[in-house]
Amino acid sequence: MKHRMTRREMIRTSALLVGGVCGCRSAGDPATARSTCCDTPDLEPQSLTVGEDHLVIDLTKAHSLRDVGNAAWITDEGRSLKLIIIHAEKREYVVLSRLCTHGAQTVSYNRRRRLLQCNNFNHSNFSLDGQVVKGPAETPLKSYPVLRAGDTLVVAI
Amino acid sequence: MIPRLLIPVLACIPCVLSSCASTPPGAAGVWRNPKDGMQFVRVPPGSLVAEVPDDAGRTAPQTIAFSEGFWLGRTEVTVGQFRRFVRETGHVSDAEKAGNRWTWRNPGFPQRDNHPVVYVSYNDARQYCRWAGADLPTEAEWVYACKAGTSTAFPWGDELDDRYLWHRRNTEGTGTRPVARKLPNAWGLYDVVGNVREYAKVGETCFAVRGGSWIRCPAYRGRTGSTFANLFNEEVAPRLEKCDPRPKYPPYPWDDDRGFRCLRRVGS
Repeated sequence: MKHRMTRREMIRTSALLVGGVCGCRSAGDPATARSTCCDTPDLEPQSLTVGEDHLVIDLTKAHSLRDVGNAAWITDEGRSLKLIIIHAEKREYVVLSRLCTHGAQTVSYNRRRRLLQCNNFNHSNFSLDGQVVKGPAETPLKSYPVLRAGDTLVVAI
Repeated sequence: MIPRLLIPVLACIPCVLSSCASTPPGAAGVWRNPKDGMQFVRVPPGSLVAEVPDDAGRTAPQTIAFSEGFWLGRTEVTVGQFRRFVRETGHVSDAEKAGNRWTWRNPGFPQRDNHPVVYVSYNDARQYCRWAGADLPTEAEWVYACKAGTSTAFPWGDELDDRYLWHRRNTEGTGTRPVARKLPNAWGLYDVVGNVREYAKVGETCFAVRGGSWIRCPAYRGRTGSTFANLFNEEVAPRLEKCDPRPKYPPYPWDDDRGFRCLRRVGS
């Protein structure tokens, strides 16, 4: 089940997207794909712009997200944002909270099973829309709407 | 025509074979349990120094002796063996009774008969071992057998070594692997670390789950971003648990990375 954007979210995210696209630049650093099995990397800071109620991600600078199946952490300590972004399908990205809803740990992305998994012993599993696939977690991971235009993503937070 | 002298010898062959198959030999070797086909290896006599908790929760080192040694399943109980048990006894696993979405028949990833069975509860595991004429190991027995006389963190040394264990990185988190595909420990026990975590008795109603599993990352980043390294250490450490009758892993008395192996005591 995918996250369904409300009309309000859609309008807001579209507006943000226009602004985000206008503000983005391209860069050409070599891609460095990393395993997301257990050691999810941080999203390259130069690829991220944090707005009041949105994030803008310049994919040309987000080398950790280059390949399908890759994931990266997005952190904004100021507002306690702890997210994970996943390159789920070709040019399709999902953003979720990376805090497990059971067991007080983080999640990591399992690209082979297309699941998020808590990094603790009970390792609850979640689908890409945040729904619980295997407990003991009972609460879904919070997911955030993402819009893409070219090489720019805008995430409503 | 059979020479008359050979008749008593030939007559004894079935008895000898039957005896070998149904009674563990006394000293060494491998014994095959005719009930489920599981091979047991002889864990030799010896002792384990372990941190043992007292009633107040403090721990102190104690020496635990295993004067006769014991027999322990060479591998984790497999799906095929558990299926045989279910067919013969009509056993319905606790996860099935509870209507859990995932069960040993459908754990959420592909398994063949030579994979370790998962989604079994402590109760399921005990019933299986009883049916097989065996028991579950106590936590001390499990740790003693796992360490196989070594004093290193793992039975092969102090660092994780992919030749010996299945973990999340080398399975790519896709599920269990067939038993006995990695190297055994010095006493011939396979997958004591990794593949599935194993039930061990702490008390009549309490259990530990030891050994780490296919889903466990060798290291991962925690909430603060710092990395927790080598998480298998705690899974094999000679530190015993205190019996706590409260559910240890609420609300799940089973999981997709929990299995078991059985133990048979010498002379039983």
